[in-house]
Amino acid sequence: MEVNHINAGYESENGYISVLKDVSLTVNRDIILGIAGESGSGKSTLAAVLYNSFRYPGTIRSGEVIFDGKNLLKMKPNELRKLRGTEISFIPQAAMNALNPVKKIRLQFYDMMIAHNIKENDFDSKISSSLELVRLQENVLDNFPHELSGGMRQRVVIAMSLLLSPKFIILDEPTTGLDVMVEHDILLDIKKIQRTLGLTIVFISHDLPILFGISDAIVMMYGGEIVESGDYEDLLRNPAHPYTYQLLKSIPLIGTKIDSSMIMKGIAIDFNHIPHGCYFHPRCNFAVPKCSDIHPELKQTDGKTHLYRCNRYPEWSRNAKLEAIGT
Amino acid sequence: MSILRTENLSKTFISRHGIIAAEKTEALKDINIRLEEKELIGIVGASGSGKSTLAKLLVFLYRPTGGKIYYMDEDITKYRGKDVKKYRKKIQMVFQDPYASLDPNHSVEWHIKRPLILSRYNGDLDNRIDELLDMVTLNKSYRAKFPHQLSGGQRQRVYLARTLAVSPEVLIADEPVSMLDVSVRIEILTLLQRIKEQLGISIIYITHDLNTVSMITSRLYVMHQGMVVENGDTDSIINRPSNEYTRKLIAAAPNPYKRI
Amino acid sequence: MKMEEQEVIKDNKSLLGKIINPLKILLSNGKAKAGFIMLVALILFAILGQFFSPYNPTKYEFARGMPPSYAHLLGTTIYGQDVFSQLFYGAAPTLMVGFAVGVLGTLISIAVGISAGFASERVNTVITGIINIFLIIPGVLLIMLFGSFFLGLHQSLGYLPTILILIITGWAFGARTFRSITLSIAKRDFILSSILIGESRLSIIFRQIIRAIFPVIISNFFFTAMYGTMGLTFVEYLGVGNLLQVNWGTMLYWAINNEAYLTGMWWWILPPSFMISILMFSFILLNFGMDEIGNPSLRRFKSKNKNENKKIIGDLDVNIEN
Repeated sequence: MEVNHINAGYESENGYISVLKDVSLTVNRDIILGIAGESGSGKSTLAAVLYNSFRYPGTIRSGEVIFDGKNLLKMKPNELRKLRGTEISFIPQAAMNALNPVKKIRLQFYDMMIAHNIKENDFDSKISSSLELVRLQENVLDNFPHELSGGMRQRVVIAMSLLLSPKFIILDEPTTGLDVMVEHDILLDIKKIQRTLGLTIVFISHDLPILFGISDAIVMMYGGEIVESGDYEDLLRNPAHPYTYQLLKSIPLIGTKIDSSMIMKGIAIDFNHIPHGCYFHPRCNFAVPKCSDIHPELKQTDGKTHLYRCNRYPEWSRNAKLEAIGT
Repeated sequence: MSILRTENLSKTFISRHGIIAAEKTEALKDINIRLEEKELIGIVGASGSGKSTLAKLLVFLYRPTGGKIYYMDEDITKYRGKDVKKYRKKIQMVFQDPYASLDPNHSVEWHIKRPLILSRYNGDLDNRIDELLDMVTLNKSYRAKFPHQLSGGQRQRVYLARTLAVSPEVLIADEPVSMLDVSVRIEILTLLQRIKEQLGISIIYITHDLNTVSMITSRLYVMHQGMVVENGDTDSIINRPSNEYTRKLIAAAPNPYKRI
Repeated sequence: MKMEEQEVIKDNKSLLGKIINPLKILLSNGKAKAGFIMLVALILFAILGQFFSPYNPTKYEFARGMPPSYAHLLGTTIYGQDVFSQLFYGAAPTLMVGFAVGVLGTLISIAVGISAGFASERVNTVITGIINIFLIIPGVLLIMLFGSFFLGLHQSLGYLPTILILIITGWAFGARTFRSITLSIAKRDFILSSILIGESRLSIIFRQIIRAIFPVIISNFFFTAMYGTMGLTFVEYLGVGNLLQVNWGTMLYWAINNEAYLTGMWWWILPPSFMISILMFSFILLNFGMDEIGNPSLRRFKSKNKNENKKIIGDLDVNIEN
């Protein structure tokens, strides 16, 4: 999948509010691409755009989403319907709470297959194979959603999205609201399914620890634009944007003690008052006067895949390293 | 003398189906915890471990079905009416969801003024409000704002100021950072630590997240299925967990440097 | 002194603001605006009707069953009354009954609903039982029962019995709504928080719950007012009202009773039906508008470059369901 120059935002009483600003990215086959960002970074907007499910008051001003050579945003409704579920599927935020509460799980599976004209003979075999993937027993089929725990419901939702064997899955905050152990198990399963079936997954989350744990490549979003992208290991070991660096530093870890240098100053960006110059400069520990003037372009590091949007790289990074040695 | 202590505290929920049929769920079984003065302890457990029920029992939003709660060595389990109100002045709770714990129809000022009026604060209200906002690192300009104009972290700080306005002795923080962005979590946690150190308030920090709890607490209780399965010094639990469940929890704690 | 004066001015301002601001919000919504204008027009019509109706609406002094003419804009009834005068004069009582039922019915439902929702479980069960009894008994039966009880007293009491009947039969629905909303709000964290800092129940109800459910109160008011207006025609139609009064309900009653629809006297039956429909419609528009104000996800915004957006939205709108 290729995303080119997306500009999207929301209509409001005070006119159009721009959220995504010229977002372009390429999703390679057979990997997990993590999209990271805090609330208000535009990551959920991006997810909805990728699946062409962005609805009023959201509006897409320009750009294209190319999937298998076709532009998803220009597709006719019935073409899109055919594609969804079979080629590409989307698990929105809190989908596990959006299961139909008055229908047994089995019927909800059936509904989905009827909508896609699957032969009735294949129903049970398809259901059991997708349940097996998420390690659920078949007896959950005869339960109502409220009879299942949060983790099981999330598994049901994942199984549903796998039902018609799509090759491309978008997961928006799939483990938010689940507790750590269940979260861990589900992440392990997602990874295993991805590897065995050769799926391409776009994994969107604000939770950096799990995102870095699971993704092969990572896109960092801030203020509706991509500030850094590349291989997960590059970003983890050698962040080129101070936002990535400061965010990684602020992650609480077992065994460390709290320290005020971990605090990221300032508050998340407000789309009504976007700062001049680099969007991140008010919160940046390495900002210099020019950062409030010049809005940096996306540049390449020495490595081919690692992109960043910063005026002061690699200068700041050297300073940070020196500081770390100093203390 | 412990400031707050429980003795075999239990809670059984009875959900009725019709008149006769009833289903019993044991949420808490024989919980013994103790909080010393000026101490910050942690209670860790997955959802369903009963940790939120425990929090609500301690502030009398639920009534225990067994066992006792002691405040300053006084048995308060049977308190009713006025006594409860008096006790609640000493113990306050911070909720998990800062988007739900502030009334959307009222300003920040109102949220801090009401507890001051109710606790019959004698000094100058205006100064006190500014002082409390300052304590949680917000400036005066936030007084007139409404919750929807604030970010999650700011809301949680306003909420902390509201609880501090009651001038409690004990603060129970039920997952105060789990709904917040990663970059603001540390800020709220340092604030909790500062509240403990500067105001001498004892804090129980309840969470499912071993990462954060290990950073600020001195002692730890690990809860599983309504029981305390391990307790002791935080560092020794993290380094040498004796219980199988604790070990699993530690293994599952998210870490960007560990591949899933 | 100066300080105090300033305070007073500030208070005045905020009081004025309290009336004007909600109105501004109301008028920002297209549906609410349309409903509001219609309602204001009807109220003006009703006020003017009290002073300027061309003939005495109760007198039988004209030729019977005349079609509309210049002298009688909407013709005359089969009894020789002027239809336009009846319509004009009868507007005020119709609106008055609607509003009275709306206001009083809503007040009762708030009182009952909120106290049930915020009281102990036992009180809640008892009040819910009472509400359900009123909901189960068919409204028509209650209207007949109380109507015949009040029948002898009508002369001296004017519209009071009718209003009472309609309130008795109309409060329960709103009370149920308020009860369930209060139940859900009372469990929210911000109410629990107020309990923890030591607020009393009454303070929580008046300072927080009423404000939280305000849009529902307004919407319920319009709904009950609608019931009141409809109910008026019902009461009259069932013959338990005072048929000597002139309002749109009695007009309909007499028109239907004399089979105006069979004898082709459309000028007698259509005008009151039309006016009642307009009144209903304005209530419904206001109700919908309030809904949209309370629930921003239903709103649509004006945009500077409308066409471009429309094109894209148009593409997307079709495939919401997949």
